[in-house]
Amino acid sequence: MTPETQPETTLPTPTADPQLPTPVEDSRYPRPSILARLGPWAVPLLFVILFVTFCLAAPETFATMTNVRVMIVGQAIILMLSLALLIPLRAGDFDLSVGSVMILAGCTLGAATADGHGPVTACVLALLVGPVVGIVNGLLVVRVGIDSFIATLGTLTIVAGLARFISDDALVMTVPDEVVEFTRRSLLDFPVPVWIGWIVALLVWYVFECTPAGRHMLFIGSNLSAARLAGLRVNQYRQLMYVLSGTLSAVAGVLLAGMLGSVDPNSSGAYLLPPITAAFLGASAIKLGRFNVAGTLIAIYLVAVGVAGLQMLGFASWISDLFNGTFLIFAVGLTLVLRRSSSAS
Amino acid sequence: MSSGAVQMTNVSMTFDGVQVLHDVELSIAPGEIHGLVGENGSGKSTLVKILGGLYTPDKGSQVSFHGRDVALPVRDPQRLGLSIVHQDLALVETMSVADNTGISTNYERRLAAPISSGREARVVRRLADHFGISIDPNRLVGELSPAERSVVAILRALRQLGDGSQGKLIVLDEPTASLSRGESVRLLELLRIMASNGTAVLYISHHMDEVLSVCDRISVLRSGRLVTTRDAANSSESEIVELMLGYKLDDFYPEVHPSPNEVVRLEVRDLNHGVISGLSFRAHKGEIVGVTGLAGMGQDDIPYLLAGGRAHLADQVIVDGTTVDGTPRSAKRRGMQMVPGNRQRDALWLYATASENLTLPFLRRFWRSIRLDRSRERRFAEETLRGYSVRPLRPALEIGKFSGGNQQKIVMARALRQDPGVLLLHEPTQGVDVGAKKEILSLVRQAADGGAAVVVFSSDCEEVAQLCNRVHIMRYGTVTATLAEGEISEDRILALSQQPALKK
Repeated sequence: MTPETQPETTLPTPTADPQLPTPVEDSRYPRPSILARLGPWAVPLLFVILFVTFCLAAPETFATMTNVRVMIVGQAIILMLSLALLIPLRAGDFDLSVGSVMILAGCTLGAATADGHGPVTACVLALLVGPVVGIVNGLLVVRVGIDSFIATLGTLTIVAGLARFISDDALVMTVPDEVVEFTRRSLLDFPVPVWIGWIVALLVWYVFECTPAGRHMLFIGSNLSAARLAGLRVNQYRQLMYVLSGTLSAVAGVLLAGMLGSVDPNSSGAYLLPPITAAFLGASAIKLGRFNVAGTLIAIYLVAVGVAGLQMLGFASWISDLFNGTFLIFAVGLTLVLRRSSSAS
Repeated sequence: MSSGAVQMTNVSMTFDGVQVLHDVELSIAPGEIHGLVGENGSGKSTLVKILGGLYTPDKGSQVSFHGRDVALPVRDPQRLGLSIVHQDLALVETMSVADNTGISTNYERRLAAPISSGREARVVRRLADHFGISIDPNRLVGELSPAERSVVAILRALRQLGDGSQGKLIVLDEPTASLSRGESVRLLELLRIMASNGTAVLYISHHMDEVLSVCDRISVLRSGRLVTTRDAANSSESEIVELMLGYKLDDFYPEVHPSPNEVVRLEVRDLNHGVISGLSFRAHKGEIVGVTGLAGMGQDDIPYLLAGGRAHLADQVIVDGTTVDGTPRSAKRRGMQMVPGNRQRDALWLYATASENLTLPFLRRFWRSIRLDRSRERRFAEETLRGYSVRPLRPALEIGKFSGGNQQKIVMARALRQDPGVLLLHEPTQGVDVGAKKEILSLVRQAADGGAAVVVFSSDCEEVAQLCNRVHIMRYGTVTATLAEGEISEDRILALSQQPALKK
């Protein structure tokens, strides 16, 4: 975008035909129904309800600063991946490979270190994984024209396989101390990865909501053919979104390696669904039917609160799968129902 | 109770507390072709959806088929002898004609029984012969022209009704919207044959001349109320339009201003692509050029070749002295704007607001230091919607809730506010009601008066004849005749479209 401050030119606008009656139809378009107006606030409301309920149910364990901090730190990686997923999704394309790109980046970091490279070289190599996979995804989806769901399902599997290959299918322990130390450093009680996630979220929010680019992406995501005819650089946008998505995933990989001190090459499956749930649940909140950052943030913490709360009440960790799956379906269903109710005529 | 094929009495419908139909009465006799007209949003499709059982009308509404009241919502309309051809024909492009026509009757087979393609072809041929239609049952629907597709949809409806269409009702919702004149005429013939077999036909169309020529009686809806039902024989087009609108619509077409200007703004030289072969034409500053012809003669491809990125052009298209390469970006840079015919598919961002759709190319203007200035954007949208008399004047309303005519005005406004030097319009008034059509055409004239070269690609001969300074008639991908100012008439255009190409 070029921030031009040109004066608003006055173009000739035709005047309304005096013969035609003045519009009176406004009464035909009444205010939307209560359901349609409150719908976008269902997810935020649910978040508040769950939070308050668990605070009352488990005041000793849930309603503590420590628990809140644990929940936020626990979601730092999911937050990064959700943002990575959200970027191409806004322009209408899936990127299922975010989780496995993250794992491959983590494994690359370890493998490069094991090969005797310094921490800087290892980080650069790990981060490079992102744009490379992003370019490949973009080529497959944008240039070749393969459905994004299928294409990135393929790259997800390939990348996951590569991660196992370079790590010899074993836990990668050779994470550079510098990286570990960096990710464990904390600021105002929160470790660095949390802050990075929040800052990236703020940046993505800014681009989505305050710039022409964010609007263009939505237009592309909603009607590709119309966006192309309107003169938008549709292919460039979509390609760029994949590169950004891959890069963010790789950053998440380095942070993950640092936070855990090791990387399990077989763990990418666990990172597939939570970002998808967060993105779609987010699209049913605040701005109905639009992938947006604020909604996604709420969705992430909603799931975190739900899972943590239920676990504290005695459920085992399988509850997290149940929660993510249910909420994904709930989110998409909610969006559909709300849309239907707002366009009944 | 009346013995009409269908009788609707006191039909009312309310959505979210808004009444969209008020005590509508409608009766159609067997063998009658009954026209239903009204502006977009007047309740025509709601009425059809009640007949088809998609909507439940309010309490007190009555619907009867052949004198027998039915419970509402209408269940299993097919069993009652009702078949509806919707405007969106709902055909499967990758299946054959025969497959498409049999799908709603399970090919008269049990679900798991094998389908014999030979028998299928025979059934379709027999049905088609019965109505004097020639169509190959084995062709894929994707290969058919729009007219042939409508025929397939009608054949399917006929097959649904069973062989003897005696005492049946068929509803056609704008079947000719995408057809050229010649094709519509054929379709109307088909309606007459159906009616003479005893089928009752409910015919919905925006084309008044068609309605008047084919229908026995016409019912006019306005804002959900039945204004009148009258004989077509003693009605005129202007009377019906006046009843539809509720006010007089004189001087429907804007005055054609002669274009003394000889400045060429658009030049197309020897363009070849697909059907288009050796196409050349020019458009001057201040004039409206019409490009028309029968369906499939290539005129529909031209705007997308010039400004839709369908092919890469070298130097065949020149705008204000500079070549363009056919991509939307290059066209825009040279001031050439295209308004696509299919606005839902090619122009609009559904689920977004009118304002967001409108301001898309202007976002740069609202950029203030680090962000979009929303209040500026809102002011721009409001001022533009008002200037282009879009109703309702609500920039924040979802675009899908505007009528087709108002959506088209918004798309036009988006193009016109970019101050185009060359304006390409593909079917600018397709699926638009009469009132909006008048406003849109006067916008087109204003754009030309403002110095733009306007090219209208339309199959509506009347519109082209009344609006344009010059008309090119196309056959098989090239211009075979040109009518200059003073020579233009609807009859001539029709005649020249049908004629075999003249050797020059």
